[in-house]
Amino acid sequence: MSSQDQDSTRPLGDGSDASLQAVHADLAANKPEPKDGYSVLPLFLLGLLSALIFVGSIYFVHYRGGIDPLVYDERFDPKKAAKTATVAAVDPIAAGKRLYNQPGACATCHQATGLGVPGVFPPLAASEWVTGSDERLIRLVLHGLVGEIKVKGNTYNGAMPGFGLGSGFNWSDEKVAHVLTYIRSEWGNAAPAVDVAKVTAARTQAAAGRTKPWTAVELEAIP
Amino acid sequence: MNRIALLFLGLFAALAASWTGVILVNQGSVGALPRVVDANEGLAFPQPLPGVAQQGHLVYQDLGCVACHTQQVRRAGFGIDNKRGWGERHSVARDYLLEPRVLIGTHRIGPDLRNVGQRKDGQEGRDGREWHYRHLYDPQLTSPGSVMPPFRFLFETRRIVGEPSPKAIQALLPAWHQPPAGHEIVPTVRAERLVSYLLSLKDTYAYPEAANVYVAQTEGQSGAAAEGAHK
Amino acid sequence: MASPSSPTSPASAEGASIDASVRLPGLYFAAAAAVWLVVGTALSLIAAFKLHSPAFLADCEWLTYGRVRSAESALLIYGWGFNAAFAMAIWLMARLAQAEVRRPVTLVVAGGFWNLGVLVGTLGVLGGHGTAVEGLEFPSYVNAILFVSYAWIAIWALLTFRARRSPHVFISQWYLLLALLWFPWVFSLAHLLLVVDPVQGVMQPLVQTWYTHSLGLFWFGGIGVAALYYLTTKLTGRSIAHYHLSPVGFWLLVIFGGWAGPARLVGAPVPAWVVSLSIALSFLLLVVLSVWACNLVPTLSRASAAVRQDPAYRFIGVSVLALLVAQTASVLLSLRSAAELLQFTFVHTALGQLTQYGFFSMAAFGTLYVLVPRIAGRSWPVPGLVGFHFWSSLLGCATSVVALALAGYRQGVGLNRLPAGDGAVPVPVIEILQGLQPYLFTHTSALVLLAAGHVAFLVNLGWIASASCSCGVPVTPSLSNASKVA
Repeated sequence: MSSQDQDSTRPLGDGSDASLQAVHADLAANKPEPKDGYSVLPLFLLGLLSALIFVGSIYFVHYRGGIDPLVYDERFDPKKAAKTATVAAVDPIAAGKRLYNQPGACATCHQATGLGVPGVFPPLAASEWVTGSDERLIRLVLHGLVGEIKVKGNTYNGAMPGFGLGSGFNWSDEKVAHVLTYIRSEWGNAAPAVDVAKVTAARTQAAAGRTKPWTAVELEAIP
Repeated sequence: MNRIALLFLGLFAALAASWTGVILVNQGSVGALPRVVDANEGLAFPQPLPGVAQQGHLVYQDLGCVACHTQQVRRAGFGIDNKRGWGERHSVARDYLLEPRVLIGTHRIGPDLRNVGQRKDGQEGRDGREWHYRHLYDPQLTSPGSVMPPFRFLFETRRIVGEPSPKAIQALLPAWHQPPAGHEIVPTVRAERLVSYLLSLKDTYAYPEAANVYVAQTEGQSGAAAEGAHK
Repeated sequence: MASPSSPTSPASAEGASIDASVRLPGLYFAAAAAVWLVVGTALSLIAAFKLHSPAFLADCEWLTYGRVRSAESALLIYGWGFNAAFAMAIWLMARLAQAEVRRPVTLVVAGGFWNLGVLVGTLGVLGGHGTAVEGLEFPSYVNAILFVSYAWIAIWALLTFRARRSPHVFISQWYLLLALLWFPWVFSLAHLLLVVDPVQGVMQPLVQTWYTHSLGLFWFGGIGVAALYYLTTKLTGRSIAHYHLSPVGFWLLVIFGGWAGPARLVGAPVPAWVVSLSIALSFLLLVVLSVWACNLVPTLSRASAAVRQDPAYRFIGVSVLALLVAQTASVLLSLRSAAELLQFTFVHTALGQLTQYGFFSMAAFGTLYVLVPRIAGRSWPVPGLVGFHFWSSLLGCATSVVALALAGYRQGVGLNRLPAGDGAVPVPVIEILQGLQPYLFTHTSALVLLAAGHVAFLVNLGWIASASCSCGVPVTPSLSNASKVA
């Protein structure tokens, strides 16, 4: 056994717990005198600790996955690939179709087929009102319609409720745009989609403050 | 070494630190993760399991299935879970949002079951339910050489009184498992619940975060590859 | 080597009255631990047997593999591990505080409630009420009784510490305080967040790994390391080498140990940064290991030839070795490249065996072989069984760890690597498991050996305890042939 080993432990005296405590208390209080080669061990531990902190930090920074709760691949960096992680865009036609068929909404009168009920509810399929000016159509759905209206050569006389914000249905502009886009592309209709911004503009600017339903004559005055 | 008050303080500080770092911080993020509302489908995902499947989850828990089966699919390139057909995509935290007890498991003595309801294990082109009944009754029938124990205690052999039960399964079993004449083998309620649960296990919804996978950066290609992974 | 105690010296007279105060609770906890150990090993055997003969006992719902496995693991933790830890903690506390345990009967009462909880919990798991949460398998109704009886026992140990006569505090006492204070927090938090009002989604595996890791590192680790420090210096009669470094190891363990749990979740659907942070901080545990190594190994190597023959010394030596190997392996296994291959395999079963059995149980056996003759006031009735127990534990544990590790490696390669060749398909899981049969069979045989050793231990212990209880008056403990320690 080397002399260094001899130094590293001490006898416990009479071997009792009291001497055990006393010897170790002395060892803890009085650091071993720096003899030749004796301080190597603490230095080694300090070096190991620093090296592991260094390695650990690099490991963590490298595999931090953006510190993002939604990243499960440690190599993924959300900053470099921010675009791919967006919520799937809403499909206006699918959303519109669901709104159209909601109980109490459009399909109640105009039917799921878009053909309406002859003499009572006008059709939407191939209707000049649907495929024509989107400005008229937006207003019609936002605030509703009363009185006579001529569709595909037939005259109908009824009342349609408004669907926009503030009405009984309280549909958002997005919903109105979606349902209009839907009816303009279904049943053989092929009119361009309706923009949400246009609905918002119609509601808040051109027809701001309007609460009562339109009449066909009023609407025809709009381009 | 005699400053005991300091020792106590140090212990509690360290405990509080690890508690905060490991639990509290994550409780605010993953622990508060909302469901994803898909406007196209008008539904929030994940969808709750049907009630009978939720009861089956309890059977799965009480029989200790988690001792051999994991319920987590690892990403492509980390193991070969995808090549084993254990799932279309890797599991993400949101898949587990509505589960009262999350049993992702730590041992794969048997296959992963996260998407077992989606797998075409129903050989002979039948309803997967019958495959599962045969498998539970005697795993050697469907998977020869398996170390899975049989679960015959989930089935009841009983005398036929009146009409035979439409649920009886002895027609699916070979000759050596046939009950005595005038008897039939029917799955117990627990077996029905367990199989309903297994059949309900499928993570198919493509959450946006499922696309958060690392793609080797070669210019111009990374975006497209990430799009592909999104599907 | 320590001078054999002479009954007349004041120190040993004081030691005798301290040991006598621990006699009742010490024997009670040791006996309860040994009984649970034998029952738990029997359950382990059933579970291991089912892995190569799945039809074995298959029609008994109570003994289906999943339930037996849960019951076995909970029983070995809360039945064997905790009872042994209670015996060790109370004796070490009393010894190092140089104070008698007051009203030791209350400890037996608390222990009675604890073991009632363990019994009900085990039956509950077998009966299908288990939680299926690893480390907290017992049904929720058991945890409250466990908590209350634990608190009672721990408070008794802390009161003994508070009543200490020794002006100094030894490093073992630090580790004991760490274990005693940390466990109730993590246990109650895990119970609340996993069982009473479960947290959402993958927070559950996070809390669970945080709990089980704390349980292993701070409770079993704390008690075990406390015993290792004490017995190392006590058995060799030398002070701990480089003792001034021991607080460094202690504090690094306390500060960083609690973070290392989620490293077990590599590849799971938990945020990647949590796992990375946990792995990075678990690196620092290697410094703790180095401190333990340079404290304990040189001291143990100074033991005289006579001490080396002592079964307690041998148990302690094996325990230190297992501790160092197991903790290093657990850091290495959490690295992502290792986890990709070996996660979910028997390698982790082997690691658990090495930690729970190789480290903690060996430390507990070593302590109990010193403790029991002292508190019972008589020597082991059949010394041959002690040697048999040591060799069966060593061989059984080593064989089982090696067999499981090899099995796990093959399992990992099969599960996570495609066979060579173009268009290769993954090896079916059934084939992989069939390839493991020789290893699993070896593991079962190793468990038979362990079980035999445990029965030997129980017989010896039951004998000494019943003799001690029937004769009543403790004899001055100078006749032990297990080891000659004051």
